[in-house]
Order: sequence, then structure tokens, then C-alpha cells
Amino acid sequence: MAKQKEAHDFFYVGVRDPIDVRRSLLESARETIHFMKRYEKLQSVRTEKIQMLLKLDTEVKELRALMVKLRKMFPTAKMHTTLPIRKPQCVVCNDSFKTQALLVQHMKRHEPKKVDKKIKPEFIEPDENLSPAVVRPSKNKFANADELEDELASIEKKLEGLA
Amino acid sequence: MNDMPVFVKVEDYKDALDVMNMIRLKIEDAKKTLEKVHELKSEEETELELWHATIEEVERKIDFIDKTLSEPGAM
Repeated sequence: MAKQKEAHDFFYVGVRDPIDVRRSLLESARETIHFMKRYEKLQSVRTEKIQMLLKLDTEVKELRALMVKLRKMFPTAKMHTTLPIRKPQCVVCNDSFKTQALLVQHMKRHEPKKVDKKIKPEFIEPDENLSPAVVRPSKNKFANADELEDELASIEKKLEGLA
Repeated sequence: MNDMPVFVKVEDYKDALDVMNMIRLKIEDAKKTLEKVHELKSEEETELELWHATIEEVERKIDFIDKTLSEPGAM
């Protein structure tokens, strides 16, 4: 009797399209779980990329060592190859100039007259890929994956019930 | 001076050829690794684009729920 009385004291708000709301809610939860699963994949791709970069670094170091070895095999003659003198050239109109100063002076002609001050400098994202924290594998990786799978299956079941 | 001939000992010459061969192989390896890094990078970018699309989709759904909840139905 007391419970019935308490129940009468509450006010309720009706929800329009309750099935659609429920479906959207479940679909959002499902998308979020997919999102978390994809995070695992992204993490493995990043780990592999870092490993490849480390491998590349080793290969370049080996290459450098081989180049040094090769250089030592050749006689140390005082010979210098004279490279052809490259005249400074305008990248816009291909005109050649005797000195760099003349080229700089010429380049002023190609500069845009008005510079828009509103343009902000381009933001360069910091490269988080090389962070050592990314390489560290999570301890509960597989446990989390199982949990996500269970949760996803439950949501799928509920969505089927709605359809 | 530039036209002067250069002589290398025969044994050094053979070694130099070996080293040259090794360098060539190492360059090939490095090129392959770099290609793999590029592949992984594009894979990573694709994943991030998918994330972006998913977030937008979820946002759309949440907007719908929010709109529905803020306009209660009549009794």
C-alpha cells in the first residue's frame, strides 16, 4: 500500500519514438565498441611501424659503415672533382642570375602584394608515433577484447529484438 | 690533375667490388623497409579516417536522442 502511494508521487515524462531512441542508443554503444576494437588494431599497426623504422635505422647505419669501408679502400689522392657552377635561377620564370643577391631582389617581384593577416600558420601535429609509450603493450589487452566481444554480442541481440 | 689515372691494388679492388655489392643489397633492403613503412602509414591513416567517420555517426545518433529527449511526448 505504501509502495503504491510512493509510486503515485512520481511524475513521468513521455519519450517520443521510444523504439528509435533505444535503437540509436544501442547503435551508438555498438559503434563505440567497434571503435575500441579498432584502437587495438591501430596500436598494432603503430607498433609494427615503429619496428620497421628501427629496422630502417639499423640498415642506414650499416649502409653508412659500408660507405666508410669503401672510402678507405680508395687511395687518398688530393683530387677534387670540380662540379659545374650552378647559377641561381628563378623558379617562376627560369631566369638565371649571376649572384644570389640578384635572385633575391628579382624574387621580390613575384611576391604577392597583399598578405592576408587572418591566415594562421599551419598546425603541425606532434609525431606521437615514436613515443615509447605506444610500444608498450597493455596487460589486459586480451581480457578487454573478450569483454568487448561479449558486450557487442549482447547489443547485437538487443538490436535484433528491436527489429 | 683531374686527368691523372688512379690505381687500386688488385686485392683492394676485389674487396671494393664486394663492398659495392653489399651496399647495393643494403640499399634494396632499405628501400623495401621504407616501402613497408609507407604502407603502414597509409593503413594508419585509413584507420584514423574510419574513426572520424564513426565519431560523426555516433554524434548524429546522440543528437537525435538529445533532440527527442528535449521534446517530450504528450500524454
